[in-house]
Amino acid sequence: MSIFDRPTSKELLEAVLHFVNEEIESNDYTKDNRFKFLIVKNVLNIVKREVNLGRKIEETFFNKGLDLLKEKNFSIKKISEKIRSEELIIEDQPLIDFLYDLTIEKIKVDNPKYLKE
Amino acid sequence: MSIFQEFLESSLKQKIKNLIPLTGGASADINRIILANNKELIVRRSVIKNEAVMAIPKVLEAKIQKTVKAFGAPVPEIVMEFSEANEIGEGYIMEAVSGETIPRKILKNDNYEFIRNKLPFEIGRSLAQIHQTEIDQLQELEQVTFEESLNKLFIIYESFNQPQPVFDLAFKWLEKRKIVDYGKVLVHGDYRFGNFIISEKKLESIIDWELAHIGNPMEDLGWLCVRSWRFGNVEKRAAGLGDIDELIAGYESNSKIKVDKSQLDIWQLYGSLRWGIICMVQTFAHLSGVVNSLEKAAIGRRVSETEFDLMNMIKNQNFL
Repeated sequence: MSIFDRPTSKELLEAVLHFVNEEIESNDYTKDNRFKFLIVKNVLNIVKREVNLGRKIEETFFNKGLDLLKEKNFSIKKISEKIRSEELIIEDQPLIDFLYDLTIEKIKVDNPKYLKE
Repeated sequence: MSIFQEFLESSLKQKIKNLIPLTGGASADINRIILANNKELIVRRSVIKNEAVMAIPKVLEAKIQKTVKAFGAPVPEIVMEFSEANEIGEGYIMEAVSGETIPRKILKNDNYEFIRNKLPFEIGRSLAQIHQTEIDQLQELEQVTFEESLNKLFIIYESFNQPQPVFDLAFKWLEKRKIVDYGKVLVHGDYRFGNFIISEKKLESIIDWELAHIGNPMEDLGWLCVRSWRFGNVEKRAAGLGDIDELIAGYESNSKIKVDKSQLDIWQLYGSLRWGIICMVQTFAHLSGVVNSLEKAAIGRRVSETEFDLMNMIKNQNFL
């Protein structure tokens, strides 16, 4: 149980999204402003998906990252550094699989439609 | 009336009925001018410099358009150039070519069905025309080899201090490729839907030369195949229109260059990486406080689209 009152942050987000969705349908705005509302809607949906999925994705890839690096600590920065120094190379299948799976999970948050197009 | 409008009226020696802001490029403030006599023009001028890290000065853009037009490529005519020390800045006015630029309309609407079938060939043929521009007349443009382009891109990427392992992997993949030297040509640098003015009959004009440089001709062809520029028509590699064979046929019909498809793959992958880093450039213009922009904030989350494309190409050799 949260120490914060209802509405929860998720419920607040839903309320804002509902408002934005209605405004997009309204004729009160210029074409340019309706376009901006669409961007707002997309951004809020990213936030919503990250709130719902982000923590689990972070945990999963933290553990996968530890396996990949065979070290006690993991960070995205460390993987980049090891690719740059060629301690991890393009022929490393576990590296390729890790990065491929990671991009899939990231895009599920950022723009899941991109996977279906 | 704004100082800018006063300046335009004084320069054009005509009253302006309406000055309509249009969506800008990476470094441009673009407005449609409707004159008192209803004639329409377009004015493009520079905006904040920090944001325009990859763009050339507007006066050079105008010079390229004039040069390219003289070589027979379809571009709008330049009416006037200006360079003012005050807030007006530097830019140029060009003719307003009628036609459509919105990619999804061109790719989906019935009235463009006729031209859609012809466009891959026509886009390829016009690109070959651009690549035949006499580059001696454009000495101010940066000349870059593939290695230099890659280094320059890496420096920009690294400057954000936001590691993207997929980008690092893509840099390594690209470093190991053997690039065919087709000779140096004028590269448009952003040759794709959005920068084509299309009528129901033909490709009317090619606009937005702010990323132009001298380099390898395959860069423009590869860029055109980047998935982000297919606007949902993923299976149609050539700009969301069709197969690359028609595009290549159009290009080769107007050029001595024979396109090697494996080189196109390399340049497409380079294009996806470049687009990902351009997204970072734009989003960090917002994050650094240079400009407060919802659009620029949002585009940072499109980086993952380019990462997905890069991994599909690297892991699966899937260029669709």
